[in-house]
Amino acid sequence: MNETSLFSAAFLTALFSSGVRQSIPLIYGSVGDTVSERSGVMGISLEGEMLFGAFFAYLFALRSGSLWVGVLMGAVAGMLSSLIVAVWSVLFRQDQSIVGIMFNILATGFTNFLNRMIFGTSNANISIDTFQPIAIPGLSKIPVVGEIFFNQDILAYLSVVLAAAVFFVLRRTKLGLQLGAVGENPRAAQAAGIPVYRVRVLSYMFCGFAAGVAGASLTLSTVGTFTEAISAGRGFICLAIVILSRWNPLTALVASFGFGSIQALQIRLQVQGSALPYQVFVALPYLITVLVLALAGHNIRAPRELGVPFEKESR
Amino acid sequence: MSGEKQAPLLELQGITKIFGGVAANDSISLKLHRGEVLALLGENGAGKSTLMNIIYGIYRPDAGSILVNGQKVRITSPKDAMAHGIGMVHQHFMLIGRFNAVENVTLITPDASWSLLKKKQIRASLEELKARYGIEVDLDCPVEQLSISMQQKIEILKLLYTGADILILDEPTAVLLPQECEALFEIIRHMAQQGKGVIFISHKLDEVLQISQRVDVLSHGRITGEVETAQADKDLIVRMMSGDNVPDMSGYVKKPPQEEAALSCAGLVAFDDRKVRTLDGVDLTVHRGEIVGVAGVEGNGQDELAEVLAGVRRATAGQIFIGGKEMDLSDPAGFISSGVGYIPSDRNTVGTVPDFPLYENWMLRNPHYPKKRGLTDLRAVQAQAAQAMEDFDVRAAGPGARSANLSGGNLQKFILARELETEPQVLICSYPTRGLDVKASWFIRSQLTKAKERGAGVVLFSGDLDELFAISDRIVVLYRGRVVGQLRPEETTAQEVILMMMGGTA
Amino acid sequence: MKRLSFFRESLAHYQGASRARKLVILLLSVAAAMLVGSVLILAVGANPLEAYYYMLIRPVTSISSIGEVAMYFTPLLLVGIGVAFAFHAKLSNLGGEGQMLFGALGMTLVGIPPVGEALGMWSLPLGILLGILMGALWAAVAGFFRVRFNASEIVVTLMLNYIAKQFISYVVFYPLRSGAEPQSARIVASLPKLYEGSRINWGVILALLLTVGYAVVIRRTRFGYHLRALGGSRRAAEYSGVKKNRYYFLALALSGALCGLAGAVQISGNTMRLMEGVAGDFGFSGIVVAMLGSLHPAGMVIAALFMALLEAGSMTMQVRTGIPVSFTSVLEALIVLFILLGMAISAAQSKRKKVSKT
Repeated sequence: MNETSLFSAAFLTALFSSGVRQSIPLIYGSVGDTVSERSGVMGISLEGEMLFGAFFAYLFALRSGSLWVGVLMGAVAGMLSSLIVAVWSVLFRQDQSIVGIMFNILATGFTNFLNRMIFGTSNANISIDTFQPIAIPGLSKIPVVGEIFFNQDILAYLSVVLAAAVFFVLRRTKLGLQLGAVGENPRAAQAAGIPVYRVRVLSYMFCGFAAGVAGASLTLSTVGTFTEAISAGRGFICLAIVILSRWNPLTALVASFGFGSIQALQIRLQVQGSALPYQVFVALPYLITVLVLALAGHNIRAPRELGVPFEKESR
Repeated sequence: MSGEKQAPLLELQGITKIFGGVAANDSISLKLHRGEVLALLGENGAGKSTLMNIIYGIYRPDAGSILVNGQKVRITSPKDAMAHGIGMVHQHFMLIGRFNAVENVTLITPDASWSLLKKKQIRASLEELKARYGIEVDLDCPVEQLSISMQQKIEILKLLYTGADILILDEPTAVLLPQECEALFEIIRHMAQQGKGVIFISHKLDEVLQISQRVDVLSHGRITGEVETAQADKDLIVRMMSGDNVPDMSGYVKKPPQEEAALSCAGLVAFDDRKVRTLDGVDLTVHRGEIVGVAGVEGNGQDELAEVLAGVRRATAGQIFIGGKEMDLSDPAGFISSGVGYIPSDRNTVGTVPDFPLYENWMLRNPHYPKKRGLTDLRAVQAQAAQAMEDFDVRAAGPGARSANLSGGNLQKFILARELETEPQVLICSYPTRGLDVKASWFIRSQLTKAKERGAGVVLFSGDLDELFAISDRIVVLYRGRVVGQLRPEETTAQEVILMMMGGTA
Repeated sequence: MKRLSFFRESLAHYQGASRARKLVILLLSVAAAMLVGSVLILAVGANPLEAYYYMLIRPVTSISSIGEVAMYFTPLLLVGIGVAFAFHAKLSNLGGEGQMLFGALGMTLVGIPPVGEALGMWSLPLGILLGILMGALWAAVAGFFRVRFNASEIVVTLMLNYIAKQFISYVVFYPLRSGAEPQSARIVASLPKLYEGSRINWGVILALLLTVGYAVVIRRTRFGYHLRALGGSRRAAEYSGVKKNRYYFLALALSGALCGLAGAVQISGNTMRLMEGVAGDFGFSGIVVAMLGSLHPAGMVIAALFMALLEAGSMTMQVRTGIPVSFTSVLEALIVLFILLGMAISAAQSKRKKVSKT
């Protein structure tokens, strides 16, 4: 393929439009994780919650015939499953990395198990009609930009709303301060009358909820069916995004779009073939994260008590 | 005040709290009236902080009840405490470092979580409180960038903001300079005049007599006496604080040190964990058979000096000689093998690994533990530890007991036994008797004097001037990371040492 | 980043504080997980007893199927003791997969023609050594980040997995590709078999020997002692003269070395070729082994055996009962979650006891 076609407007429009679609699950996941990490709980298990969300969203959308029922059930599945992680790592104070990894194994196994048992071994699951793009009157007519940003499906628009809403809550409400306090200094937060455990559990459940929607967006917005391990590491990319965006949901929105576009590019290259092996682009989000940790590591300040279990009565 | 007629503002009845089998608070009862400053006086580890944490809902008592304005209340969280008008300035400030004063105050407002931030409004009220009580502090800077005394002022602003009636100040002067103390007392008096009840916790007798109307003395978890400050008898209070007759060092005769230097250092410069230059060119020589006491107000470089001399913290400049040999400052293991024993101030997580059994902690900082064909001989290690435990009267279930289960005194004796096992030529002791009861303290001190008589050079960091005077051959005073004075205990007074600690010259 | 709860407990138990109680927790956890598994199987209309028979009993009924079990046992145990080294220093090595892949690459580079032919019989030991080295180096990247930039090893090892995966994918698609499939050529020298007629090979012996080595290092050497002290209290270790950065780095590198060895063994004893997914899920299931074996050498051998049975038996189970192999993942994860739960409760109990006495 030649240079002109790679950088033609049509190619770029299609690429970035697909990039936006690819970024939807990343936005939900990273915004959710931003909230829980602010309160001190790491979203290692994001990957698993996405799988739960993806599977149940697909199942219920298929059975009910309604995509919205699907999204809702996906979110609920993500949230309920995240309760496991919350109970284990917050209430029982177990190591978040171990609980998270075990939860991911559980989620992969469980969704595959159900998928096989319900839909059989054939990989040709029944496809459902996905969410259709909604052109925003006026804005979608802007050349290039309109097609990329204003002709997307409802979950894309809602993801922006969610990121903005979370940004607002974190910046402008007392809740945002409380979350930060719990993640920075739970002992002081407790002294200020904040129920540390409750805040951590609820913020983690919010993360699960968002991860569930992220999963739902995979099955109901892009693919139209559930395939095994459909999340394909997106949960971990979300973790990277949260670090890169320094726990800011709006920056996470932008970073998600960047990583989504890289993913879109990689898919295209895999189909079309290119001088650069597509693997480079698959690995790019992870490479960028690791490099940023190295280059800006000292300036990136995570919530101080991130990943540290809090014990109420200790001496 | 009509305090006598009314029910007391706060009343405690039979509060008991047990930690690890030890009663930190043993059936404590006390009353606090409106407009009164009640001092709670007691040594470290007497149970003052535990009691206050119970009043504030951080710990729950195992027995006893709390009454506010004559009403029995249940306080299960700080939120409950605040609802009953109880406010507290903790010994360790309860501030979110990344937030500024306004944000920290926002956290304790009764507003619902979903309410929008009212920074302007809160800021205005804080400015008003600042003006009213003469408190000068920056409201916009993240508090972690402010000095300790500034942070304390923010804590007090927090209390004033909530309008709490019962104000608990837990060792508020421990971190302050003398002139800062006076400003604090001014604020406290002002608060009492406004009809608030203040509980002032301290182990410093003089300041207690200066600020309070009434003194309750706490010792070993019990109230051992109560006096009106106006009629207070200093000696009586001191006796109440220390309990019964106990062995002391009065019979100890200091033997003169030898000529030969055990440790000497020159031009030591070091930074603390926050990258603040806390050692600023320290020169010091400790002779064999000498105990050198190091005095100083907390935060003037003692911790860093102890760690640097023990090789645990790397000095960025300067030289250290142990027995005449220059040490490689980047090699902590070299200090150990050159015979530097070290008793760190934190015995629970530095002096020992809390989850190791004692015999494994016996191997800590001890390269000469028994080995067989290059591998650890666990049985011999256990036997050695058991023997030392017997020699030093360490009471525990045996060498297999988890270190975390030992009481402070027993753990400290164990650490001391270990550090003395190899007969070190230098022994660095950082606050070795802090928080220990009188008997354990006596035991530790007499072991230090034995080590000295054996010929070791001992550096004793202590906040207890009596201890320093009792066993040191020489007292050096640290101020702002420098040695500002060297005194012989026989030729000086506590007042002179204190003056030097504050930066005055002798 | 300090992480306390679990390792504190597991270490205490490993020290033999209450070994009996620990064992009870482990057994109860396995039983509880299998019980929940049964409910799951019943829910889809199958017979749990039958399923467990194919998973746990059937694999040991013939020499050839024991060989299959060994195929899983060796990497599980190697990764298990690998991550256990890191756990002792209170580091989470979640990058076993990536380290295995680089280990596999190391073996492949030396094992395939023409290098392999030129080296002859030396290609096997050299390949294993190179595998160990490459696994260690890949983990050392995370160690370097931890030490130099104070970056969480959890995040970095996770990220490195994906980078390794894509790198190996690239390698088998392009430079090392041999034939139509994206895989390397066959290596010339493989691990000798222990028993003809079965796939069981010397890898098993190697893994068991290294477990003994692990036990000695952890329990009886200064290095192991310092590693555990570092995990138990960082400042106590520094007090003891430990240079913490060096130990963090070494712990991760050593952890990676064993995972790299697992990868090399995977190539030279099992697949004979480098291909995508050659590391399977061993990186994470090795963590299960370490947890289930509670970092205890014999415990981890038993845990690896148990897990290997599950993995090897699950295929037969899927064919005979229709229950998908993914069921084993559910079971594994449940076991560890129950263990964590049991230890949390046990810790809370002993604490309460401690408080209430006197």
